[in-house]
Amino acid sequence: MRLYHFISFFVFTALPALSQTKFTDVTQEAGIDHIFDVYQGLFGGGVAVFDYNNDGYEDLFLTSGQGKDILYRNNGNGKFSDVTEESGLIQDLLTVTTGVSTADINKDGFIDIFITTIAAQKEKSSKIKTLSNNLLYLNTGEGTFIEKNEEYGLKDKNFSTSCSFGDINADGYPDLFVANYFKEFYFEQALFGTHNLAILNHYSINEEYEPGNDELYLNMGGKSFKNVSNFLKCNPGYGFGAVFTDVDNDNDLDIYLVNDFGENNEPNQILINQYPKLDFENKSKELKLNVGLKSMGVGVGDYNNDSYLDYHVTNIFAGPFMVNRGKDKSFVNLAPNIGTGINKIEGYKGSKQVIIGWGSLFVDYDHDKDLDLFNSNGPINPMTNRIPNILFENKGRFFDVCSDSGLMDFGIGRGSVHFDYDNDGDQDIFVVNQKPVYDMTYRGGIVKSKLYRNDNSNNLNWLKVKLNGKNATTRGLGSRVKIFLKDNLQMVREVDGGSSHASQNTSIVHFGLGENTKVDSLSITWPGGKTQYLVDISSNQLLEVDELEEINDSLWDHFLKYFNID
Amino acid sequence: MKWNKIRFLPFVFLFLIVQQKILFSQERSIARTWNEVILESIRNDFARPTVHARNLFHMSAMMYDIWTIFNKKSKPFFLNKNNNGVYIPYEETSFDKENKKALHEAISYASYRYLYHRYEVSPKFKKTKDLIDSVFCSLGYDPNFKSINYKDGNSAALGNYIAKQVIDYGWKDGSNEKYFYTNLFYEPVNQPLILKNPGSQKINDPNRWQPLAFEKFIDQSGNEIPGSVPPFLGPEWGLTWPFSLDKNDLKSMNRDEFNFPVYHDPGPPPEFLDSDCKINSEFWWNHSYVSIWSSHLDPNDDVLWDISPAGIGNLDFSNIKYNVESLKGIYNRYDGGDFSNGYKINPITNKPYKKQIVPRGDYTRVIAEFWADGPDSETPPGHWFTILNYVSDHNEFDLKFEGKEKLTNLEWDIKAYFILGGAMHDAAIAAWGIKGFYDYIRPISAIRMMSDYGQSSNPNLLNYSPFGIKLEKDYVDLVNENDKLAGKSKENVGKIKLRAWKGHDYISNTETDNAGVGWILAENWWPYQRPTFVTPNFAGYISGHSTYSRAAAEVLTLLTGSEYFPGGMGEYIAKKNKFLVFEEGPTRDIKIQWATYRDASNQCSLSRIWGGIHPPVDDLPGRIIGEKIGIKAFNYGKSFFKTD
Repeated sequence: MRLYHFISFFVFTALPALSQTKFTDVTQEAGIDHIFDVYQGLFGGGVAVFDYNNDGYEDLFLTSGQGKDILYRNNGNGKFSDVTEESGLIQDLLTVTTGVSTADINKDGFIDIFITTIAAQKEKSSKIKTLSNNLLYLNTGEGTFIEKNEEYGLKDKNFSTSCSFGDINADGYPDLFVANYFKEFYFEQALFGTHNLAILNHYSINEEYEPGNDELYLNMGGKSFKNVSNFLKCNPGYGFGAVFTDVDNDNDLDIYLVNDFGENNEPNQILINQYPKLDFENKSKELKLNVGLKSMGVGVGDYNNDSYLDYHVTNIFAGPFMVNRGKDKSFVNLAPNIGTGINKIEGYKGSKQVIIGWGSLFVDYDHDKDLDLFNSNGPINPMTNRIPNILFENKGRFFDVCSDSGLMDFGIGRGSVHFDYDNDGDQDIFVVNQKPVYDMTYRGGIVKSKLYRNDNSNNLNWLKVKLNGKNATTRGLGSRVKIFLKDNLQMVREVDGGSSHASQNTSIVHFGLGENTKVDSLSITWPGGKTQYLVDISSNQLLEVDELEEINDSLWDHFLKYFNID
Repeated sequence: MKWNKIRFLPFVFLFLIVQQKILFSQERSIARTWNEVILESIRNDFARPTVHARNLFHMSAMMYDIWTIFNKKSKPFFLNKNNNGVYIPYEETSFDKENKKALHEAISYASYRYLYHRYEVSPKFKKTKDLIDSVFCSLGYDPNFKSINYKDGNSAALGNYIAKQVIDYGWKDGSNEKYFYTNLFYEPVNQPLILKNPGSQKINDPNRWQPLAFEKFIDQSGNEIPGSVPPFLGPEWGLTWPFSLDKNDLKSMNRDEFNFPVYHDPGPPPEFLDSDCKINSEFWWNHSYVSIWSSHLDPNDDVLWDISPAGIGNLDFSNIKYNVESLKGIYNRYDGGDFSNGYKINPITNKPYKKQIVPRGDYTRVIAEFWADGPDSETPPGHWFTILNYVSDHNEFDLKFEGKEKLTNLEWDIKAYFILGGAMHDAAIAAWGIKGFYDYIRPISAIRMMSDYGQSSNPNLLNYSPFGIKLEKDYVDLVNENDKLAGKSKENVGKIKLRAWKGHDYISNTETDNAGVGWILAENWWPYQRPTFVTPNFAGYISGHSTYSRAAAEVLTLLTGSEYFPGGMGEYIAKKNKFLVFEEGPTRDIKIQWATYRDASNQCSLSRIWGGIHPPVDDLPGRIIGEKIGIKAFNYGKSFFKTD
């Protein structure tokens, strides 16, 4: 009998290994216990990856809505510790947070946190909420944070959904974008009936609330932020976020912002940086990036290794897959033909569910030299239909991995990020899940936020590159890292300053190298265009690169520049 | 669903059948083997008739060019000449004339590389890959041999080399292969028709194409968001480099800031409104045709037809115009079919054709399905390759080029594929150039839209609108109070009803039910097509099927030297209760029969009206343009066959 037990134990434990699960849920063993406590609506939350104590292990900051936001310290042994309280990241009054991004605002070498909010308690005793200012926490360098939004001039009270950092004027100080959804929001004290977020729907959003104006702030030497929202040459939309990204390969950071309800309101917008002139030009129509949909988030990556960045936008139903055809050419939406145009996914107990996508990220999870695509999905609270996440494998065309991915939880997914929490070289994934508004006892239970360890075991090679900016921002946000491999293969990555949804991926760029055991050469282009090179780099290492203070262009570079060769 | 049944067959078994069929049939040429493989690859791909016409053509031309290297008498198509600015060099190498082994090897390597390239992004590539690999390996070739250095006389390297050149040519040929043939300029002007909802919904421009939404998402408050909306396939296909289309037949036509290349411009289709701002009778006449013919899809209405060549075929439509008066002389509005005379005798046997009396409702449903060429099929260009192969295999056919010179199996296949491929490719470019530019509405949108407006026959009756459909006794009428369709609270009174095929709602089991014909609300009218397909995802004007089919019929006529099928009869048997896919039927075995290639082509054209997706005005210009394309392609292709 005992033997029988032993055998059945063996059989059952052996089975999962056979089914080739690519990711493993390690939330519990990593000591993570988080769920985004939604303030009766569809907004939030997010997660930012950063190393707050510079110990070489990337930590996580998680927004929690009307719950307690959490800073998780990565202990380096596969476990995380909640250090929120000891780091001073506690609010007196209840604040409903949504998105988060991080950057070294004052260039003291320690990464600071910016959190977007939609509402806050008026006073401690009251339930009544009002619009709230967003939260800037400066890192003291001693493991603690101090709230500094007033001092930095970030006082506006808006209905903010997410934020991102990027250095638009290449002065080395990260500038800030804040996405706002509504212009005003009438909380419980509305004149006619109660308007809390639970009853938000297509009609009430479109008919009763005006879309919000997004905000753009210029970082003034690390001492304050100056509101330069007039550079955002577009109309207010139901903003869900933006990425700072170089769409046209001219070495400055443009802004691609995505809006909800873009069919009837302001669609997505691309604003082209006119650097060195401090200005932006709206080229949404020319570049055909003015997609009008339920855009929730955007992922950035050069999926076809042509050195032009492509963008995937999440949506209700399949989102557009916007492919960059090169400078001054319009984008083409390949979603219907490239394999990501899946509108429904097998949900709970085999039911087919319409995909509602939020987080989107490109990552080469299997090191086969091309970027794969991950989307975190989830219904719109209080709806509880179960829409799992989806992983697409890039094989020239995209193929969904689904049940073999190990990533298909039935949580109400929102933001998601990739990073390497266990420093083993491959990219792991974290997904923020919302707490269902309804009782889930008879609906399959509650699924909390998830940490997924990458267990895709092939023996292919990788390279991680961490930038140490000197004149540029501390982590080189928005910089472009390009590697050159044999057979003329080139791959680029852009350092993420905040993307989708309401989140920020690792700022350590990652390449899958396939069979290559070395990289022929590597270039780093910092925002503004300064470029430095390294040659002959061996694989399977974390390469830390310090920005060179002075870069003397070689004759060869002059030659390339003269003839405008990229 | 019957279709699922096929999937449940053990895969290996099915696979073996396909492979056996391809490999071990006696006397099949190497060209035929690889042609069967590409046809199967097409079936495993999306239903993209433009893309597959191009794939068939490039593959056929590639095999032809390799053959010319060994034949040494004919001129190659790609090699050593300028094709639209692309020059594919080939250095004369010591390949022995008629060296069969080397020729087979070169064709196989080229086909293998080419098929891998063109189909590796298919949704069902795994199936395709297994087939390509197994055919290639069982012919004894090594997939790891990748050299393209043919100059020392290595025929495998020659195959690899030519495939690479043709693939590279494809990157430049205007088809936009690089971006999966996705539209770069075209955008639909109309909001999608959500198929789960009644009516035509929101049509901004009644003369333009309306996309279809196969899903809808309902948010918390019941608002609907359309989903699964297939984009227009190929509106910019006119940019693709053709085979034999003539620049003199090309116009650059501007709309929405894009210059559509249009070959053989047939002029605009009838617009929705006439100059008095009332419904244009030509528009109405054409689109309502489709709902009337939809009433012929009942096998139990006691209408019997002789569908043999004695009863159907032999239609003459030379010098026809596209207006209603002319079209009336061809199509039979109420009884269905065309005013063809049939044949008194089979000129090959000199005996009369044997009558085949069957229910009209079986015949029409069978041909609608036979020529549907949608999902899981080889699409219309591929379908005509299967018909060519059928002819080549026919016992009574001699493989005589133009009915004169007898060719070997291989030479026949090589030449026939080359010309037919070219014609199909040209048909796609011409038809889709026209479709893209005119962007004309489909019957499902037009019929529902006219009916949504009401009736334009009588201002004194209910629901009058100058934009409405016209009432026609027994076919189009108003729902009255006592009508079954009136609804519980009489909410449908005054709506337009149609006597038509009742649609998928009336089929719960595709094995046992057929929807039948009866009165339905016009807002719920469906074409006789699969519920997952409904109507092809591109504009209707002009019919691709008519263009492809007529072009192919002309090519086969010239190629074989006879307008008649071998023995004066082509035949396909649709098995009782097996053949139809989405409903039960036919009620008996139906032999689809054609005397001539043109009869087959005409039948294909009519099947699209019964199928609910083309009015006559889409069809006829397709036939006439197809005829021109087929003849031109044949003569152009033939000019390569003799050296100067």
